[in-house]
Amino acid sequence: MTPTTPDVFLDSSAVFAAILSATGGARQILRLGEVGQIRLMVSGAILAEVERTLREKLPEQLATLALWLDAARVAVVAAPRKAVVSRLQARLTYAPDALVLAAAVSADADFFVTLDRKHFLGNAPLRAALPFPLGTPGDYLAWHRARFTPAESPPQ
Amino acid sequence: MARTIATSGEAELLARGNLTLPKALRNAHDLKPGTRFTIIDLGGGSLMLVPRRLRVDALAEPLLDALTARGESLESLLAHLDAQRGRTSAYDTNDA
Repeated sequence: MTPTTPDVFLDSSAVFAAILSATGGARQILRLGEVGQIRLMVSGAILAEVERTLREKLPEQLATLALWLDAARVAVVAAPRKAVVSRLQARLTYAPDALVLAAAVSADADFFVTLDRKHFLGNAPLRAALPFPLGTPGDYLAWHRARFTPAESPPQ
Repeated sequence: MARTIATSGEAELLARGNLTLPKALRNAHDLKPGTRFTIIDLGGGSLMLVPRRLRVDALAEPLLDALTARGESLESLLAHLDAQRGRTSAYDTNDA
């Protein structure tokens, strides 16, 4: 059976990693989005974070950011349900993160891509409780390969 | 001289990094000499070839150049984003 197109949720850290490195895993993920291999998504809160950051750093490049997100076919998902946010807040030390994760849960994401070690990657109990894997861009690519490429040969 | 590869799903890397794609594959995808490819590195030795330059790469260039010129790095932006997250608020939920 052919696997369905994955829905991949991007944290704001992954968005900026994709801009700042042409060879890193995050850029590969954006490329996969542009060629339609995966569906990329962010929440309104993530988009606001990215826009606010760029507005402070490079206000003249906001239009380029919009075109770039459009090129990668990044969709903005609906706001999360309050009940989902409340449930996740119990597992997080930093309350605003619940809003971001809850948006991915409400959107039925297949994978959450982040570089945030402090709040997400280092929180093993949280990761175990989520309905999708949460990992770095490299983790996502390994997950993607396992589904969409022939089985890898063991190292020689 | 390039050797012919019988299987359409195979290609051979030759001297100086030249990759010869089978003729059947070139014909099927209308690949002409001079076609530019984007290589998507999936890791684990898996590569995806896309026969065009992607917009995400072209559009990221001015963003990367401008951020670099301002002395920004991934570390500085991640620290900034960490502070930004505290500005999200409860109205960003949906009870529908």
